[in-house]
Amino acid sequence: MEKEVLNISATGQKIIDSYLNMSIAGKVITCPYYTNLKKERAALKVFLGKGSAQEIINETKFLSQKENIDLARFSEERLYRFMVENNLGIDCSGLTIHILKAAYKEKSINLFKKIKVVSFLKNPWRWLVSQLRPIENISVRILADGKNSFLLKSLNDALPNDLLIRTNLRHVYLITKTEKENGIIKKISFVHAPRPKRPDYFGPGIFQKTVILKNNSLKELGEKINDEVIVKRLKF
Amino acid sequence: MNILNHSILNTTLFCVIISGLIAFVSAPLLICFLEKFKIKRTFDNGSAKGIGHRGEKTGTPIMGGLLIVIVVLLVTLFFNWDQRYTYVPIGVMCLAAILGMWDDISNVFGKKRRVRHLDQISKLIKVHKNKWFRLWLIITLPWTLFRNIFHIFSPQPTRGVLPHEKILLQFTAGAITAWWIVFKLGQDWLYVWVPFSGEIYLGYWMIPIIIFIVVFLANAVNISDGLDGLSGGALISAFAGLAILSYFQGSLPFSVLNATVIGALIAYVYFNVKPARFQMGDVGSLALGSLFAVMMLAQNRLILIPFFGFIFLVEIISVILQTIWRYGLGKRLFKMAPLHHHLEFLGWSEEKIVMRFWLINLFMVIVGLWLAMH
Repeated sequence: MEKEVLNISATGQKIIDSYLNMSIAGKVITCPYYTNLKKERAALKVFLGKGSAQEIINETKFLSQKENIDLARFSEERLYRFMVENNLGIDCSGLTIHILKAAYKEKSINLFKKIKVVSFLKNPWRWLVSQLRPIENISVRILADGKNSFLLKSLNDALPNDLLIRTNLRHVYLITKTEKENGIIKKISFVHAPRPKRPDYFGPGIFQKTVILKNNSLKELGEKINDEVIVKRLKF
Repeated sequence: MNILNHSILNTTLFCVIISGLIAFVSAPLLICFLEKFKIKRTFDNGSAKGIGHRGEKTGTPIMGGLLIVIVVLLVTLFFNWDQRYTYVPIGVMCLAAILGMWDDISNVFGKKRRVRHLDQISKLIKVHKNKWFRLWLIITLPWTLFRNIFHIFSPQPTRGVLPHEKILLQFTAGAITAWWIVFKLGQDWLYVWVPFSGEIYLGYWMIPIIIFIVVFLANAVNISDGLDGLSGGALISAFAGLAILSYFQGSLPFSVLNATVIGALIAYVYFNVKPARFQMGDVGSLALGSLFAVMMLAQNRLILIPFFGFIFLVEIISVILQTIWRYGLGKRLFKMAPLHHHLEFLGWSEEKIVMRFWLINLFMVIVGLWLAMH
């Protein structure tokens, strides 16, 4: 039986670990979820759900210093609440972009130079903004756009760094590991930052999951993760 | 020492003494007045909210800059009232002080004011039932655009003078200064002195340059007034440099005016060092920033502004850079702007920041004076 295990690159995994194990005030927590529902523009990217793990940690500490709060006295739940109430966390596309940026950097590819957000001729101002602040302007929709990614015909073709995108383009999962036996995909692992079901949820915002497949189909995968997804790969 | 210079020196020192004494005596009275009418810093105005321990400053009287403005005005009126040389600097100082006073009082007693966003205006133009009101909104659209440009970077709603109102008044002060310098002081002021080089003719380009410098420096001193004694102490060295410069230029009115400011500032800073008995407020910072700009320009030493006003420029540039980084790149350059807040977050004590900034500014003033000799 021929087994093939493919993992996301070490740098990509490092980024995932940095979000999963954020050390703040003597506690190790997973980055909470936050997304820019209010459609704020021009705020710091760390307040828009697009900050790196270190930026989120730094901003949390800075805020506590500003407000004269001792985070060491907070419980884990209180700390999560503090972060979410201060708009600190990561959303699905932000997490995906940070991981992919690191993974592509290993291949000497600048992801931001490759991803097309808007054409200069169509909207010069938006183009300029997307050049200066790329992470904030790359949404699931942009990743799913035909200019940036192509649809995989079969789940069996999926590899680490490929994207599982919800059919309504509102969520993205990043594949981190695939296990094949005799060329057929048997296990697929991914990481994602889903929006909490309850507005009063204050807890970890990032989850890793491994799904065991019997039929090697997208439909089966969708049933197991309770979502309807397509598989796409970035064009570069 | 010739008789003319002795006379200038004598009058200059006399005015330092007299303004200092008047200010020393008046300061406690002003503090009582401000306390009585509760003209004090509250938690949600100024930078007190931003940094945890700054809550200590809540309740400190503001508008202490009135002391300097009134003393300088009175001493100049009685000892140095010269239509050609001191009318306009004092007039500009008073105009800026009125703007500052309006801002300070509105911040304490006023209601929050908001400015309608452009998208709100355009919706109203489309849907409002009153056609005359819609017409009015269309006619005033350029004004709305102007207002909104200045509100891109400032939070709202806010108490106090709105940014576009501040800019308009400061522009007026700058325009008055430009008119005086370009059309009243003489052709010499159309040239900019450059050390080691001579002069460069700028002609009527001086007008926008002067307006810009007055607005820029007024705001620079305003921004720097964030720690007890910071801007007051730096202004002492700046005006001391100006006084020495004007003494060597043989200009009695300017020398006396600069000296008057020094005397009043010494008394002010005596009560403003930590823990401050009162704070300058916008009435003082805008007035002195404008006066500083006017005097640098009137003494035709525009090139020395980065030296005499070094700390103020560093502070305002830190704010500009932070804004560019924040809006342009979505990151922080400093923990907080202006620079003195960043240093506080790095663990520097307030006293350390203030003393070091005073010393740096003093050193740069000395460099500026050395350059002025060439």
